[in-house]
Amino acid sequence: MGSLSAPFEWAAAHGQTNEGVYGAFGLDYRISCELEQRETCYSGAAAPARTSEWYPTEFWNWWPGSRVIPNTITEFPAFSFLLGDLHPHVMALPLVLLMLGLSASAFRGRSRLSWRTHRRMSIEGIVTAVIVGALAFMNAWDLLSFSLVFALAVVARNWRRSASERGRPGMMALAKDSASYLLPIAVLAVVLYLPWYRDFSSQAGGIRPYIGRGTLPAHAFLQFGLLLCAAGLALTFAFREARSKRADVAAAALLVPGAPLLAWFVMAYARGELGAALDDRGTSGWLMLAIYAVAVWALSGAALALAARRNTAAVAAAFAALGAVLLFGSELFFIVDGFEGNLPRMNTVFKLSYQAWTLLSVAAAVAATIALRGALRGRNAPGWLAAPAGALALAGLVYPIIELPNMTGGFNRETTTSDSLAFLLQNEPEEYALARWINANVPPGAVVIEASGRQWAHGADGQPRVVPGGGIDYNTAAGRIGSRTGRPTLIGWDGHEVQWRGSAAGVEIVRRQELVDHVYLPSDDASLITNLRTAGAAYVVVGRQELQRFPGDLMRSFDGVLDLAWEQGSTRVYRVPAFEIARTS
Amino acid sequence: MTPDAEEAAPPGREAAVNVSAETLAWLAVAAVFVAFRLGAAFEAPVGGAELVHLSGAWQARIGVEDSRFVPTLFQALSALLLHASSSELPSRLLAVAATTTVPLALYLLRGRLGNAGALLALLLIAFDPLGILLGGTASALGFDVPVAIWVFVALSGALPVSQRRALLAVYALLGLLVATGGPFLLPLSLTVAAFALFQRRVARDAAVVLAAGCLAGVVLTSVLAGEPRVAALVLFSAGFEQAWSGPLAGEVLILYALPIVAPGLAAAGLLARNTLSRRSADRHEALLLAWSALAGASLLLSLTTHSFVPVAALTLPLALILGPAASRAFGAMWRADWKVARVALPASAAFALLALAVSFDWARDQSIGGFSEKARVAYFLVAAVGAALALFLRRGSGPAVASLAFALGGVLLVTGAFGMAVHPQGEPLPSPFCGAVARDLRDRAVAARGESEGSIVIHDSLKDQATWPFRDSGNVVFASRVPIDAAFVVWPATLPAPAGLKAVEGNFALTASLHTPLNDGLDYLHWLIQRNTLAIRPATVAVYTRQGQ
Repeated sequence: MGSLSAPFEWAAAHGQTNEGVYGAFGLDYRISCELEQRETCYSGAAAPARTSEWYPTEFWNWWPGSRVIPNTITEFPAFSFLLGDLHPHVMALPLVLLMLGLSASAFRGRSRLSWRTHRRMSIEGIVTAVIVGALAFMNAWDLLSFSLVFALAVVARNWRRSASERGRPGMMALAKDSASYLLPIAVLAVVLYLPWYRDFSSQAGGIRPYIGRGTLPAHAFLQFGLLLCAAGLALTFAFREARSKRADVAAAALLVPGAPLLAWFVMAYARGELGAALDDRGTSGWLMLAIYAVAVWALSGAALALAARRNTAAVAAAFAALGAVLLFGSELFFIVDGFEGNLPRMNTVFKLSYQAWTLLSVAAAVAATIALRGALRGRNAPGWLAAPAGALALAGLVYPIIELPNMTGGFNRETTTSDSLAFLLQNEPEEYALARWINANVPPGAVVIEASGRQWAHGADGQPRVVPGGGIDYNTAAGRIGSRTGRPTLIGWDGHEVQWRGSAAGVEIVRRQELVDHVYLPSDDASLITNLRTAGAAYVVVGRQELQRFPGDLMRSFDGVLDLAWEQGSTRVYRVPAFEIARTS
Repeated sequence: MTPDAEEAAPPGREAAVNVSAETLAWLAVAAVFVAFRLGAAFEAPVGGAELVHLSGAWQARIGVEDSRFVPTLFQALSALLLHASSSELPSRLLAVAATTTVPLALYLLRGRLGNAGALLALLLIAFDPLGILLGGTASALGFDVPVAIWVFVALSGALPVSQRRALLAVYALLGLLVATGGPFLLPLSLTVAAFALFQRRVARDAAVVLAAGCLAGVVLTSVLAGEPRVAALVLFSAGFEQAWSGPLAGEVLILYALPIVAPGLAAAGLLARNTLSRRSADRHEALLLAWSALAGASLLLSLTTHSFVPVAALTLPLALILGPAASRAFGAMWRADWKVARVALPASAAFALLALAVSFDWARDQSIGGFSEKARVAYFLVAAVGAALALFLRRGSGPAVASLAFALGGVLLVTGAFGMAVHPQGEPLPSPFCGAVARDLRDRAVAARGESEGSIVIHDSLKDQATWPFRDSGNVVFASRVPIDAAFVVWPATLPAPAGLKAVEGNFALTASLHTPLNDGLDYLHWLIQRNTLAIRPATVAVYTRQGQ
């Protein structure tokens, strides 16, 4: 399923827009300016040109669904799969689901988990540590959230066990057992991946209270409403079965939204920003916080009540509660990163809401099953709910149904193929041939030099200068040789390099950019060879990007110094000359 | 002699005759087993995995660092043997010697597989073309087949060692051999690890010494390599990048392994079903099933690699499953109602042969005949299949149909085995290979250098290919530009001729490959009937000398 903004996109593409409705959902910027001139409107073509089929044929219509909340990214799995996005948050999905399964399994077991468990079943502990450790390795954002899920599952199991043994759980014993079970796993999860941690660097620079306008409730509904409603409504049915426990857990569950809210107040106060924090959020922002807080409270309460009864739905309720906590948390805090200046919470909302999608999806699936089963058995299912639930489910299905044909041109486009370079063959045949030649002829470990992406021009003194802000943007041309051939290149797109490695790596990033750029800039032959040896390079690429980044006489000639290995049109690959006297006996 | 003794004598004599027949059968199959591998050792060209690994061993022997020297224990010993002789033969004989222990291992497995089952399993392994190549050549995996078999013997409890301490020593040695072995052993190693860790089917002290042996093996490999390394993993990865065989793994499966893999999978399926239905499995059966499953998964992953190893790694456990199954099938066939079968089966075979005869004509002409020929083939095939099917469905006669499968599988297996053992130069598997042309090229180069006192120059893109044929040739220059003092230049044929040099007439190549006969069905059939006529595709190089030479 996808964002509920898709039905609006669909209607807008066919010219069916209503300013009132679109305005209420904060989507008035998707109404074409040609139809209604307003401050924010869609500057592209009007409706007839936005589609010629039953689905929107407008270029990249599938994209806006991931940008509904302004200044953030609200990607969701259906979008990721359509994009073919190989970012860590997508590649980690199988591992995250495995971790959720492991957590559910840990919760459902009966015996107490403590260090004795490891002595009895050491392999299980080792495998768990391998999986937990891999979370950091795959996508560091997932480590905190999903190891917390696992830890909570262990604590909940021990708590239930203690309660059943003694009537009231002993807190000290509970803490001791849980810690003695979790600590060895945590230590091993780090130790097993020490070689990776040795080189790991992050752009994360701490956690701060978010001060600014919060998410509009309408936007939150479009992005997360479907799953929250599904999880919330259907789990309510299960909650009925735990009626006797409601009063006990209602007060305790208040802690779950209360604690982060209190922390936000304290942190904002400590930073001397409480006044601004209270003012800037605005009415809609506070309303949003209240809605999320209630959802967190209700779902946490449901999870606790169901857990006490060892009800099957407890795990799903807990997942839903944690999903809601993540959404709530991304309204209160943000992780400090490279986007701190203009888009402080972009990554935080992006990564936490993606995790929330996963958690809520699992919870919603279980919840829907419970609701359907209840409906079929004629209990726990008010009939009037069927219509809105069905409508929501259908609305959620619109995104994949209309955007898949949008992306593939109704499956008729020649580039509808799993070959990710097919578009290149059509649009830039020389670049395609270049990638294929490198794939076929350059040994896997050989270092290839390609343009760093910085734009060069003559300065006032006639010397080559980097054009400020003229660097390559985030597109497929950034680090193209590395990504299309898998061959090592010295530097990728600097934007990602900084994001992945943190600002501490800035010096090294610039050093590499300088080294690469000075291979292309005019220099004497000895300097060229020295630079190539420093880079450990075996090949130099001169293609469209290089000719564009080093225009005219800003690029030196390699003829005569390097071996011309391949040529097609203006695209060339040069090879660093090889000479080695080798013993054969 | 007492009356009792007189009565007991005839059965005693019968028993003696029976034992002799069995022994003879075992000796005959073992002799065939060894003979096939010796044939390959003396006849096979150095090609595929062997070419890569011997090149690595040679580099180690002369003290040059090279990623092709992994090493496995076998490759390390190969490097040592190359000190004694620069020929591949001593290393190959070492592989044959190690593989010769396989018949003994199968003999010990009689208690687990049954006497006939073990003998048939040995027969299948003896005739397995992939096993013949592995056991008769000096790839880094030279010890893998015997190590795998002996690990299986040990874990099946069939080792004739009664003392616990001695048994543990054997386990430690096997652990060491596994850890210094190649990727052929990975499916079995993972199976054993899973059995030891999760199923607790391996005794704790045995598991500990096995692990200790493995650790020692990893340490030994790491010391030899100069960095932490598990040889099997390095080679598993290399198998995806290097050319260990001319055909892809999927093609190797079709060309050489179908007679074992197809019935083997069916037998494994039956065994799995029986195991599941009785909810318990003998240790060796469970081990074989898990080993086969992992080897199958590994093969699926590797279908598009130029490597025969994943296929060979599957044929071994399947042969061990298929042996006892074939023995039971023979029994059932023997007991079947042959009243109708003795007519229907020859009829079916005759129809099939008629269809094949026409198809062979098509294969020779490389074109399918006209409508009437197609109709005839279709008719013969329908008649052949129909007769077999009718017989199969007839009560009591069904098992007799197995004789057709045995005949077909036997023919394919025997032709494959003889091809690999007697004339491996004509087989597409050990490719790309380094033939006599390459060594001749080397001799010319050395002679030219001797005459003009210049240097032998080889284009650096040919460096890896040149290692083996140019071994023991003194200093050779690998360069992308021809230096001034070049006396003899080996250059890619696709590159322009270097200036100031004279081209030498002739067809030169450092390596060559044989065509993989799987363009279409006719191509395959043509290869079956005329096995040694595959086109050779040399990786042609150009040769230049200084003007005036």
